[in-house]
Amino acid sequence: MIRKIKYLFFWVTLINITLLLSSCENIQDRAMELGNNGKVGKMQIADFLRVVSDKTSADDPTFFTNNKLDTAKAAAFIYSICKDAGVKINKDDIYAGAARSRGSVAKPSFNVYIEDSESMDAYVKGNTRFKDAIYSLLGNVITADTLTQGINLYYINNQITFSRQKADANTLLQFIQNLDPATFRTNGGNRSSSDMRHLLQQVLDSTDDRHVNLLVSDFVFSPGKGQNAIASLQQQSTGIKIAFGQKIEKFDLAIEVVQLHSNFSGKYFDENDKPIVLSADRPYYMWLIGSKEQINSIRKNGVLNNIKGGVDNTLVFYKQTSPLLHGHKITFSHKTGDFELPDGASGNINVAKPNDVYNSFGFDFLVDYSKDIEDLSFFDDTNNYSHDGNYKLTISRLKDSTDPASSGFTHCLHLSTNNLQQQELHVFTQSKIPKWVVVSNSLDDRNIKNEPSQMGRTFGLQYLIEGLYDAFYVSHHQDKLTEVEISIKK
Amino acid sequence: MFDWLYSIGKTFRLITSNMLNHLKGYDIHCSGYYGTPYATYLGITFIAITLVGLALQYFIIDIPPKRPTGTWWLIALIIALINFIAAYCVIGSSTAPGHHCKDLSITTLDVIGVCFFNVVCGLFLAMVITGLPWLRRLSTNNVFTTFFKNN
Repeated sequence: MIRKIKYLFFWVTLINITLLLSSCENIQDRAMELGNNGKVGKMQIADFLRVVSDKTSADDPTFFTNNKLDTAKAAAFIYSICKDAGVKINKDDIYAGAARSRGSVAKPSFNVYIEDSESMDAYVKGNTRFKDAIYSLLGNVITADTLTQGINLYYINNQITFSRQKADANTLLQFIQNLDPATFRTNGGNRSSSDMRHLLQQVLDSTDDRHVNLLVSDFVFSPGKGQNAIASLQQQSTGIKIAFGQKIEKFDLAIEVVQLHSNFSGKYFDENDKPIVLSADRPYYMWLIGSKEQINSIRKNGVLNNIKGGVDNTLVFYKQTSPLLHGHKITFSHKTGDFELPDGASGNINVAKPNDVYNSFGFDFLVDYSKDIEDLSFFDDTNNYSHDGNYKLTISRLKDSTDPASSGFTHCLHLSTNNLQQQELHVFTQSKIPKWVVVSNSLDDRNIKNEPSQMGRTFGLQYLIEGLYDAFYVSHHQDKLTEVEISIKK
Repeated sequence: MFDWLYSIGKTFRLITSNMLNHLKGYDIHCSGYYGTPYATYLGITFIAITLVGLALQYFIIDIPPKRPTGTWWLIALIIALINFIAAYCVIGSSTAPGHHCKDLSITTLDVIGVCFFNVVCGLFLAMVITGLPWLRRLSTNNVFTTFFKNN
C-alpha cells in the first residue's frame, strides 16, 4: 500500500511539473512560431490575439487601441519580432485585419500668389535664385500628382493682377521665363505700396478645403509715399491677428512660413518709402496657407523643403484645441536610481527609488514625433518643451538605425531630478515664435546699404509673425501642441 | 508565476534589477513582458529537481536500511549542484548579446547570482519538505533523514 502511495506521489509531481511547463506560453515565442510558418492567416492571428488577451491588460498600447485588441498592432508585433529574430516573412503575409475603406478625399488646387509690388522687381531682374526656387517648387508640386489636382498661378498686390488656371508644364516654364519687372509693370495694380494685412486677407479669403494657397513675397511692409511704416507696424500685426483669427473660427487653418534668400538687384524701399539701390542677397518668404491636413500632407511630401537652393528657416502654426497625447516607451538604459515598469515600457513607473549616493533619479523615454506637423528639428530643442519644474529635460534625436528597440521612434528624452516625488509627469511641446524670426527682424532699415547686418533682415517681420501667433494661440494653454504623460509612483 | 520569488532575490541583492526584468520576460524589443518568462522556468526547474531528488532518496531508491541523519546533507549537496547547473542552462544562453533586451545590462556575475538563488531556494524547499514528518514516514529507511533535529 505504502509503495503504491510513493509511486503515486512521484508521478503526480511529474505530471504537475509538465502541466506547469506547458502553461508557460509567451507572446514573443508564439509570434516567432507563427512567423516560422511563413504565412499568418486570419485563424492564426485570432489564436495569437487570444494569447495576447490572456497575457496582457487592456490598457497595453502595444496591442490595444481604445481598450480593444488591435489586429494591425498584433500583426506589426509579429512582423517586427520575426524580423529581429531572423525569421523571414513578408509583411503582406500577416493578416492585419480587414482593410479599412477610406473615403476618397478631393485633392486641393495649389494656388501660387506672387506679390508683384515694386519692391519685388529686384528679385526677378535677370536670372535669380528667386526664379529658380519658384520653378523648382512648381516642379515639385506638379510631379507630386497625388498631392494636388492642379496649379493656378496669380500675381497679386492690392488686387489680383494676373491669373492662369490649371497650369501645365509648358505654362510653368513660360510663367518663369516671363517673371520679370516688365511683366509686373504690365499687369498693373497698385505696385507702390505693400499692405501685408490686405494681401494676406485676399489669400485667406480664397483658402478652403479645395484650395491651398502659397503667397510669395518679401513681406516688407510699405505703406506708400510720405508715410512712415514703423508707426503702422502694430496695426498691421493686429490686423493680421484679426484676419487669421476670424478664419480660424470657421476653418481648421494651418500655415507654414518658409524663409529663403535670393540675389537681389534693384530698388529697396525703406521704412520711409525711400528707394535705395542694392545689389545683395536678401531674404524672401513663402507662406503656405491651407487646412491642417493639407499643410501636413504637403510638408511630409517635402515639396517646400526640397526647393532648389534650400530653405533657410521654417515655422508652422496650426489650431490645436488640446495637446495631442503621444505614446512613450521608457527604457532601462541610462537610468539613475531604480524603478519598475509593471505595465511594460509604454506604461507608468512604479517603485521609483533615487540613486543611493546622489539621491538622483532619471530615465530615458522614446517618443515618435514623425507624424506631427512640425519639422523633427523642432522637437530637438528643449526650449520648445515645458514640463514639471522638479525635472531637468535633455533631448537627443534618434538616428536611423537597425536597433529594433528604438524603431518607430524619433526622439529620446531624458528626465532627471534630485527631488523624486510621486507625481503625474507631463511633458508638453509648445509653439513659440522661433529665434530666427527675432534675428531676421529689422526695425530700422534706413541705413541698409551701409549696414551689412541689415541686408539679411526683413523690416517688421516680427510684427507679422506675432500677429499670426496671437491669432492661433489666443490663450497660453492653447500653445501646447503635444503631450506625454507618465505617472511616477514611489 | 514566480516573479515574486525572484523579487525576494533582488531584496537580498542576489539578483540585480536588470536581471529581474529579464527573468520576468522583458522582450527583445524592450517593450514589455512579452518574452520568455525565465522566472517561471527557473522556479519550475528548482522545484522539479528538488522534488524528484527527494523522491528518489526517500521513496524510489530508499536503500540501504537505517540511513544516518547526515545523508540529508549529501543529497542536499547533490540537489544543489544539479539546481545550479540546470539554472545556468536555462538562463545562461539567454543573456548573450542579441538574445535579450539590450537595455538590460546583464553580466556573468548576475547569472551566477540567479543560479545561486535557485540553489538557496532548492535547499529551502528541501528543508521544508523533509521537515514534514508525515511525508517522511512514507519512506521506509529515511524516516529520520531531515535537516531539522528530530527525536
